[in-house]
Amino acid sequence: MAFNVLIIDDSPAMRKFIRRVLALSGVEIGECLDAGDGQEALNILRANWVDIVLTDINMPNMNGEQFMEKMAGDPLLSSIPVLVVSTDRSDARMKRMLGLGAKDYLTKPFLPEQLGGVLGKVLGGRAHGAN
Amino acid sequence: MEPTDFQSLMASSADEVLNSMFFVGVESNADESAIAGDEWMAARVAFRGPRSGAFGIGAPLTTARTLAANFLGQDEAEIQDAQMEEVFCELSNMICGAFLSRLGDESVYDLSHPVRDDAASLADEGVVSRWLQLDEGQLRVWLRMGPLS
Repeated sequence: MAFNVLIIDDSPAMRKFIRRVLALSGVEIGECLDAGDGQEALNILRANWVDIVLTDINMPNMNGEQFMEKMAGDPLLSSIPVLVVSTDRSDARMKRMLGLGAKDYLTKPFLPEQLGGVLGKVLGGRAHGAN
Repeated sequence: MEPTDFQSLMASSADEVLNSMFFVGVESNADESAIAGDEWMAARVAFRGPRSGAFGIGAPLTTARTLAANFLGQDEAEIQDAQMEEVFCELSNMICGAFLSRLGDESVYDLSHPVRDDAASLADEGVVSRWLQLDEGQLRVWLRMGPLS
């Protein structure tokens, strides 16, 4: 089974890095979409089938927290698993994002194999070949 | 906390980020005099929380290009200037995040969007800085604590 992924990060370089790591993760990736902020991501989610979202927090226009709040309030989107990928390592921020419904929290920098491991954990048995 | 403590934390933060996502190690302190005169790329990010200030990095263009190529998985010859700038800004953001997490106060910090910097700002008063020798090239990390103007 291939998974459609949405990467949300205001850095095009980081989005490209994550795409590259996903391709090497062992998880079968279908369509890989990306957005530069939360609002753009919501528009994409309402028009495309997405299996998992990877989001940064610190972004212009609509940040990751605001994006999670919007997702939680939308019955069509609230069941999509979200993985937070952020430079912020504070316990308070992690708890806040997990409280908003994030399935897991990965801090930057991360090793490529860490992303594969967390994806496999979030997607469970559906992620064939994940670590 | 003494300036030398900050320097040590900046170096260990840079080492962690460069090792894990840029596949480059930090070897030692670099000889600053050997770098003078090179063309630069610099980027900085402001942070606000229990402590406020700015964090920045600078490097010769040759180093910045190598780091961008490693991060994006492309040949150096394929790297566009805009990509090099994006990667360098992201590098400043990640090292700053790693540094703040090492301050040990477990607090939430707000970081500004990282921006390309004027290399002249590296000579600012009140800046704690350190040159690092990498496997490939050199990198300067700097920190200015205090309210931002």
